[in-house]
Amino acid sequence: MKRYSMILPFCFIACINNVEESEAALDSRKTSSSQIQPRPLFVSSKSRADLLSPGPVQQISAGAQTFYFDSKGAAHGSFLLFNTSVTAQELASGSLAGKCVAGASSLAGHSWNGVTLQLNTAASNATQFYTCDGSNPNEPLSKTTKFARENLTGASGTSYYWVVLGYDKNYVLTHVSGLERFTLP
Amino acid sequence: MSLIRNILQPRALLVILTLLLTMKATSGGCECKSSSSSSSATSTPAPPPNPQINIANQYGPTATVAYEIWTGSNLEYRNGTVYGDNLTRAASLSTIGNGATQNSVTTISYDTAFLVVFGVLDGSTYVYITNKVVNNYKSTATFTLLANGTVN
Repeated sequence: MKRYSMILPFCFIACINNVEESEAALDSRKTSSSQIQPRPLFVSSKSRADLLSPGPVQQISAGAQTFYFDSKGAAHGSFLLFNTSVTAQELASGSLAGKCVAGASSLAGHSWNGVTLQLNTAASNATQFYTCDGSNPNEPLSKTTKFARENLTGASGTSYYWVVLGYDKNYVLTHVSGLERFTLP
Repeated sequence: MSLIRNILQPRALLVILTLLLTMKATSGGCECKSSSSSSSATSTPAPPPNPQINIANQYGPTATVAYEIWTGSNLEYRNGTVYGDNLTRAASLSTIGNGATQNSVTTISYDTAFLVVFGVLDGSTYVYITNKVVNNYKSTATFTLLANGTVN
């Protein structure tokens, strides 16, 4: 058993690679690279969390807007809304002041179902947005001040960006979406 | 007299009858062949026209959609790779503006399966990708990327 316990961590990575190679080898069909390639994830080497609606680059509704996503059953999650494009490095360093405008996160004690949030302060508390001022790198989201659709005050066509992050029970980042853009009507 | 008598023998009559029937059949066959050939030329259905594929973008305001068309069998698009047997790119990358329909992108031979890959552009990157596989396609039609991300 001692021997296996030393070998397994190395084998684990190797075995994963072998499985991937085997799947490709088993597919006897010809393959060709499409010119339409998926956008890289906001943080590379993580699993993909899906942003479902509003679709990328689409307009949100004029009234209350529900955001649909899928954090793939992650134990914890965060949804962050920005008024400009940000990088993964900026997010990791907590340099979000003036960029992060709203969000929700189970890490901040907000209710989190992993699939929906509503830009509507009249909605259930389970799916509320909270303001994000980014002044505290470790805790950018307010725990109490809610954020509504009318707080998005940009002119028609103004762009906002959103990202969903999923964490395991040990608060390690495991799932991430792309940083996707939507516009105001 | 002996010749006449021999001809009237049943065996000789049988041979003569066979010869006459063979001659009749040969000349008749020529007529049938000619007639048949003429009939075939008028009754064979014309080959079906090659289907024309049109692509439409109804994803939403300001969105530009790109697409590719591939032919083959067992077609599949997954993570930027197209899988299939006898894989051929039938239409290279093209883009369509918001609300536009592009006609006569390419023609696909009758009964050929094909795959259309749609990609929504944000700048130079594809932010949403979907695809549709069509088998045994026999007519002209339009494939539309709708606002909900599905292909109609």
